[in-house]
This record gives sequence, C-alpha cells and structure tokens, in this order.
Amino acid sequence: MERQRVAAPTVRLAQPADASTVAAFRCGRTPWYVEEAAKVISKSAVLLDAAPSGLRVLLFEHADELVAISVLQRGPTARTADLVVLAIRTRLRGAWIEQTPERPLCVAVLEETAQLAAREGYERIVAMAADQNEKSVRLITRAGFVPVKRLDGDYTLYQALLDTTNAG
Amino acid sequence: MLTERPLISKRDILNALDPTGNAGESAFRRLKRDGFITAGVEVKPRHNGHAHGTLVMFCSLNRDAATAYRKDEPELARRIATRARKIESSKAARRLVELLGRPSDDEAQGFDLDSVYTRLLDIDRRPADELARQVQVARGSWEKAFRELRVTTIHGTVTSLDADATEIDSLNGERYWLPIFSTRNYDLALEAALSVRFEQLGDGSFWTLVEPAWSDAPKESSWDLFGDLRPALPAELEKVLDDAPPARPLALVGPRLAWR
Repeated sequence: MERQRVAAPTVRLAQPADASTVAAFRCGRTPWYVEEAAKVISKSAVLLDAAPSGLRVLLFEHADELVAISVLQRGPTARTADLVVLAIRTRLRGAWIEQTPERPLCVAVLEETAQLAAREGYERIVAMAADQNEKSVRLITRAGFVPVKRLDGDYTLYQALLDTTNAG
Repeated sequence: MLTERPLISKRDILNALDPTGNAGESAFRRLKRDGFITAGVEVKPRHNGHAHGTLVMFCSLNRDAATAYRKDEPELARRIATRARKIESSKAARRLVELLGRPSDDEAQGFDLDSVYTRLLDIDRRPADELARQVQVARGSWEKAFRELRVTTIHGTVTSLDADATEIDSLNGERYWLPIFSTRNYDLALEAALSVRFEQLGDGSFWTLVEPAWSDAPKESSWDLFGDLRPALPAELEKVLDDAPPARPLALVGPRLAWR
C-alpha cells in the first residue's frame, strides 16, 4: 500500500483565539483511548482562554488546515514536562512528511514537541499511553521513552531525558 | 461529592420491594417481566484463566423503581426502570463490565458487590464515577415525587461513633444520629462516607437503610490540568521518576519544522 504523503507542516503555539479551532479538531472517536485523547484536546481548548502558565498547545498546520496537535504541560517541578496528548487529524493517520529523510508525521510532531520542552529548560519528559494503544507505545518507545510505572485504567507512564544543551 | 453507589444487588432491590425482607425470587421475576426493573448487567469474573460464575449487578435506580412500585406508583416505577436500562447499556457500564471481566489474581471466592467496588477503585474507577453521575442526574427527575412518597436520601460522613449511635454530618449541613443497630452491618470508621435512605412507612414507623456512599475521585494533582480526564499520576512523581530504571535521552533526529 502506498504511503500517504503530506507537505511538512508549520508549527505555532496556540493562542486564546485558537480555542474554536482546537475544539473543532477531530482525531477519531474509537477506540476508547482515542476518545479519551479527544476529551483532553477539548479541555485544552477551554484552558487556552485562561492561559495557565506551563500549558503549551502546539498547532501543526498545512495550507490553513490543522493537521496535528500536541499538548505539553509543566510537571510538578520545573524539571519535568508532561506530554499530555499528541494527536493526528483522522484522515492523516499514518501519513509521512515529504522531507529528506522522510519520516512519519507523528514522529515529527513528537520531536518538535520534545524540542520545545527542551528549549523551555525541562530536563525530562513524561507521557502516559494506553497499553492497548500499540501505535502510540511504539512511537514513544522507539523515540527513547522507557516505561516507569503502570497506572490505573490500563495506562503506563513513560519518561525520557531531554537534551537541553542542544535544543536549538 | 458523595452519591449513592451506582450499582446494587438483587437483594437490595428485593429489600426495597419489601423492607421486611420477605420478597422472593418470584416477585423479582414478576417485576422484571413487567418492566418495573431492569435485567441488570452481568460480570463473569475470571481467576487463573477460569470463569467463576456470574455476578449480576443492577443500576441503583432499580431500588427507586421497586420502592415506587411498592408505593403503588407503577408508572413512576416504569419510568425509572427505563432510565436505569439506559444507564445499564451506556458506554460506561460496558466498560465497567469489560474491566471486571478481566482475569484477576484475587481469590475467586467472595466476588460480591463490595469486592466489585474495591476492585474498581484498584483498577479504574472512572466508569463507576460516570455511572454514579448518571444516576444522580436521573434521580433529580423524580426527587419531588419521592419526597411526596416520604422517601429521602442523605449523604454524609461519620463524625462520631459510640456504643449507642453514629453521628453523621450530611452534605446539606444537617446532623443526624443513627441508632447503632442500623449501622451494625458495616465496619464503620470516622470520616466514612455513608448514604442513608429514610422512608416513612404507613404505620408511622421509619425504615432506614444505611450503605457506604460513593465518593468522588480524590482531588487530582494541583499541577495536572487534565487530572480529571486521565489516570492519576503518582503523588510523588519526581521521586518515582528518579527511582525508576535509568531513562534514555530522546532521539531527536529529524529536520526541524518551520515555526511561525
């Protein structure tokens, strides 16, 4: 099967005015862990207005279309960033970016989000993924996340170190 | 926030149908056949790879339905049962059944409603939280009718215990004293959350039903803006991360995307 290819998206931080765009973003409704991710995105749209410190909503856009979203928040201390969600627009799931070298869109979104966390001075990043969500588990473990602890509701907590010296 | 437990047993429904405890299997079948109560949800607990019987649980609205039926309000009972049926077929109920049907290391013996609640708190309480919320919303629809039937339910926490009575501070700020015999089935402790149903019977006496209440999830970490939507992170996250096997640096290999 031929890979779906998309042009490299641009990135920007969401502003309060983007709340409706974020709320309208669709990344699927099933299975249950996708639905839970969608709820997190909806809440991040609501939170944009209050602009809590430490919340970063990254919008990945191409030709005025929102193709992916990631949400980062500050952990309990300034050492740790929490990758709350990373979601790709439904029709672009599995798409690759037309770049050299080519890479999956989800990898680019993860890397760009981690780069932002490193730039903001975080030393490590945590993420939780549902054990049944094999694609997400594969994505983050291949990038270097290692499991830390099993959480309620079939989720596992992962962490990875960030290189703050080379974050550009 | 405290609410009634969202799921009850067949015995609980039969007790609501006849507080003297004389209602039996045939009365239960009749109620179910005529649509005054629901069929419940079935859980097939597994232990060591084997199924161990079937536990049938019912949406707690069925207790209201059975009470309404006993109070000669069959239409109200049917209306309540319809709502209970909807809750029992909800996504939260299906998820709860799926969670409880998973293999467990717990002893197969003693798989009853209390152990269900204990297990849910252990594995994932969110489906039960959602069911409790749906039950509470639904109950608001016939609260007035139940007041007229002289049935009220209060929720509160135990503030003192002595040889004669249990004192409860209710959510509405009132204080209640329950005679010790009404709580003796429970191993109560101070701060325990209770749900108490008072019903004025026709002969001037009261029927009091005391049960553990269902309480909201513990408050999420103050820093976690999404703590209400996902599993709770360890209380001492930094320490847990420090004590975990060594983490690796994230591999950031691709070309940067353009920012704007």
